[in-house]
Amino acid sequence: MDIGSNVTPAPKMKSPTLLRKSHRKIIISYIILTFLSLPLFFMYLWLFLSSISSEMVAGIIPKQITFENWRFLWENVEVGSRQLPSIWLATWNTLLLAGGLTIIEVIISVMAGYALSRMEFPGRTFFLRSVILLHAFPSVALLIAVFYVLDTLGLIDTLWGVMLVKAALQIPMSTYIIKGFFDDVPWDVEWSALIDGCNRIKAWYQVVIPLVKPGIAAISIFSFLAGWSEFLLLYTFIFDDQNITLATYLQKIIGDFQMVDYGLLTAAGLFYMLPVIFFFIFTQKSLMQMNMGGNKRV
Amino acid sequence: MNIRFEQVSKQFSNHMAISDLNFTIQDGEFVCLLGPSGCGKTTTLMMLAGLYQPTKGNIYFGDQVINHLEPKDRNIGMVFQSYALYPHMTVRDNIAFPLKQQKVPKKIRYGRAEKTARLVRLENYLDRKPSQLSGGQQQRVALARALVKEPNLLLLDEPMSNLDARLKIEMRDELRQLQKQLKITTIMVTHDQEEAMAMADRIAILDRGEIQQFDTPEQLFAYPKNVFVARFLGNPPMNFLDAEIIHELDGMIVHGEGYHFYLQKQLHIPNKTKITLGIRPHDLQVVSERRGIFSAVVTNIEHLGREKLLSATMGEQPIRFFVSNDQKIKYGDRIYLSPNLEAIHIFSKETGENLLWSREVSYEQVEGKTGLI
Repeated sequence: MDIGSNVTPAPKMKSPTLLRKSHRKIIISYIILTFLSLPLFFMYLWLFLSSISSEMVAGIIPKQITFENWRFLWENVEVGSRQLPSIWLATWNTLLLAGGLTIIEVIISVMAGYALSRMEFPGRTFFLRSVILLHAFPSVALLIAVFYVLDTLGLIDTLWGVMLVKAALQIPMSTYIIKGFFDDVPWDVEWSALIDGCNRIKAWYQVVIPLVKPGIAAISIFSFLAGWSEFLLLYTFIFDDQNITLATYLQKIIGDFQMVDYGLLTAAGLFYMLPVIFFFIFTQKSLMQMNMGGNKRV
Repeated sequence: MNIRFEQVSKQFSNHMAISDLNFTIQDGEFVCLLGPSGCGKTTTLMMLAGLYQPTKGNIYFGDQVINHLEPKDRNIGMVFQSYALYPHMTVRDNIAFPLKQQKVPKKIRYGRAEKTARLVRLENYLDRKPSQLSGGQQQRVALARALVKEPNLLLLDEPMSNLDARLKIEMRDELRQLQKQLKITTIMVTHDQEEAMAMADRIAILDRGEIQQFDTPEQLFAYPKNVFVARFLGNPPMNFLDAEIIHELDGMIVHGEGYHFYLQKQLHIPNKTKITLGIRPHDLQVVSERRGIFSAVVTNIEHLGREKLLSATMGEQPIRFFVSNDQKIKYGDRIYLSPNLEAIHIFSKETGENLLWSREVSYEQVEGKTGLI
């Protein structure tokens, strides 16, 4: 490296050597990243190609383009001897589940996060720690207990039941995330609102809530995606085909593994994934703003 | 509206922030709470704002005890050190926010917001967001927001500390003029003595949760009640020298290490009382060896433009004083100094109280049996 150019007092042009060096760094990182992401890229490519072809050469090159695999969009497919319900019913149910989950989760965790961040009450620290513990708790271990609870409440085999259980499992983490956002809102701003004539609740929704909007966006996206991709709870607690969601729809296509229609499976899988991909592309800015430093005042 | 503190104390879980505060602020007065960090000045302000409640005692607005009145019901305006603007609102909405809470119709409140914005020369920035403004402009927004509802009391929490030096001096003037024009009772917290001296009608100097002295800037400077006040006010700070009072037949002698001089005033204090002698740098003069009382060696010379600030040592003790530019003094010179005997301060070594200031006080009190008021 040309050291002389580094220390010259005239800063009118950056040393070309330095410039080239930083360029080289970028290029190298891109090469490495490209190399590492190739398998992922081929995965998606394969998924797409196999959904529109009847047969593949060498596992990746489509032999003949067909839309036969996408037939689930306009008719009720049959797997084995069973006829599956309409994909549109499943889509609607999935949307309902994800949307309902998001609403419940956001409302509760925004209120809980504010309380944990801003208020003094006995057991606050204990509560905060147990929130983290709850998040780490393996939900599979709860399946059977939850089954009994839902059954007693008459919520078994309903989307509402699954929604509530899922919300309960998700709320600890999103509370913790949104608490981090509340921690970053200066007290001065809230006090200022109190002096300017707000009571605590008005100050909360007129001044504090707008300031944690990025956080609300982040937890909404998270909970929506979690609801969209939920499988285990649905598989365990739902039996009626009327309550089918996309995840269980896919599972039904796989059926008994004897004669899986991979074309149909990939097409339905792609259909299931597309909203998530678009959603992610449009919301990743909000996701990136997330502050995991929610550990102040623990 | 008068504001009165009556035996107000504030205890936080682990320490006493304010103890037995008593003072009265007159209507329309500009008062500064001055003190080092942790002295309780911000706590006092927060209690006035209603964000903290006093543990003991009463705060009165006029005749009404307001200890437990919610901040929103106090009709006060406050400017925070961080300005605490609402980042998601435009300047116009920021200023109009207090009126919105009073349910003033939109048209009227925007009208009043614009009028207040003109007062602080912000009329051209009404549609901007706070993040698009400079620090000085943000501070004006905060001020306008505090003033828009025509509060009975304006609270300022170190409002200038985030401004650069030049802007600070400008804002001082402006704020002071505005306050006189609107005749709003104003209480400002600051740790900058210059700012307090420049702006306040009266200054309350706080230390460790207690008011040390509450008086006009002139009085505080000329008659500090104790060593703390004397040390805190004035830049460069007052010189302090250890000494002893010796009674002689023909008067009292201040006797210190390597110097002594007759005291012109008669003090009612016992023989051999240990004292701290306080002399402001401006009250020391370089004189000939024959007339000199202190003898010192110059250790540093600072050129301040109009004059020079010299540091010197007398034995171990440092001493600072001003000389005019034409006096030729070099580093390492031995010089002789004479204080202006009218302007010296004598503090009790033990209690720190000013013995000249309270010279009517009897022996017993000086000895610390009851303490000074």
